[in-house]
Amino acid sequence: MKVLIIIPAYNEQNSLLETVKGLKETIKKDKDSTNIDYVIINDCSNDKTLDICRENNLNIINLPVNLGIGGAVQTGYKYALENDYDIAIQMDADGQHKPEYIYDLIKAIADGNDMVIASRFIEKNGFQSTFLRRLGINLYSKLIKLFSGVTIKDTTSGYRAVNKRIIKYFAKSYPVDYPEPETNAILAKAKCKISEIPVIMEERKNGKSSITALKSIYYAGKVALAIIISSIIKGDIDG
Amino acid sequence: MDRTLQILLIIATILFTIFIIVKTSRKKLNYKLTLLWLCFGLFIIILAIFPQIIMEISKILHIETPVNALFLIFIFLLIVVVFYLSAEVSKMQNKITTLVQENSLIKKKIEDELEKIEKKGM
Repeated sequence: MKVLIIIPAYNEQNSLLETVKGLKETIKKDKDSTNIDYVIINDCSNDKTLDICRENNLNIINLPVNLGIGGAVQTGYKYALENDYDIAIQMDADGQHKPEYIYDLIKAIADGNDMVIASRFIEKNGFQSTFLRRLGINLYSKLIKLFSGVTIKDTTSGYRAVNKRIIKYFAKSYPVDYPEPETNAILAKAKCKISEIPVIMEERKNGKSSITALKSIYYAGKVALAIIISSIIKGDIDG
Repeated sequence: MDRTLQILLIIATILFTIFIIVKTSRKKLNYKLTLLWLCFGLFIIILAIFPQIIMEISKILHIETPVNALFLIFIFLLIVVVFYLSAEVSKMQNKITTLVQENSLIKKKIEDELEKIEKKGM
């Protein structure tokens, strides 16, 4: 099975190299025959992210203009589709996501899930996010439960794996910004098999969250609306 | 409707129409939008020449002064235009995103192939 790890990077000069090194070491330890590659999507960073990638000969796709997190991650899914990967795993460059969990994610996909989310809130260990963000995450969780009956606890987790069916769908259609809760709602509505695995996340080492205080209210409303609209529309992701 | 307002509307609309046609001939405006704006101008001229239309509308809507009915119609039309434009912007944004993604993927492919050739050559 071919596995691609998609790492979107926007101004991650301080943590990207460490993250990729950690990931490479984890992959090296692997004895299975699974074929694991990674690709960094540089979303037109204006720091030294690109230089660091070139110097260290990292596998990178460089976007000529800033597309935002959704457009960057979708580029990764398009790359995965083009190069015939069976599983795609999305992972942040800022060190929040520990690479050793990729095996749990891969295993859960191999067990027949369409999407597997690495969730902070199953065993409730490690960094649990801020109070306000938890409030939002809970709200999205309740909305998804209400509209499609599926329980997803960590609705905003950017650490997740999908199978080929979902790669195809994401390559075709992916939300622009703050895409995780929205895609979760769409896939839940389309009756895809979604499961969560417990992980421990670190607090981000460097860089700020892409969501600032003022924007967060706007985003909270936007995401809630997106979940509601995508839940009302009948889900068909294979067409 | 006041005679001065009538004349002012007609002159402004004629100037506006000339401006639109010049812009189009210089390829600064697409024909699709030219048509929209010319229809807009034609509509205003019709309203200015036949003020009875506005009078009638304000009577139906119980608006005291006809000029308020005129404002109402204009605001409504402008909202339609602004909505149309924001839909166009969204469409354009999606197209640009796809183009940027395809472009970077092709570039990536070329880089990888070049690297392969280089390695073989050595």
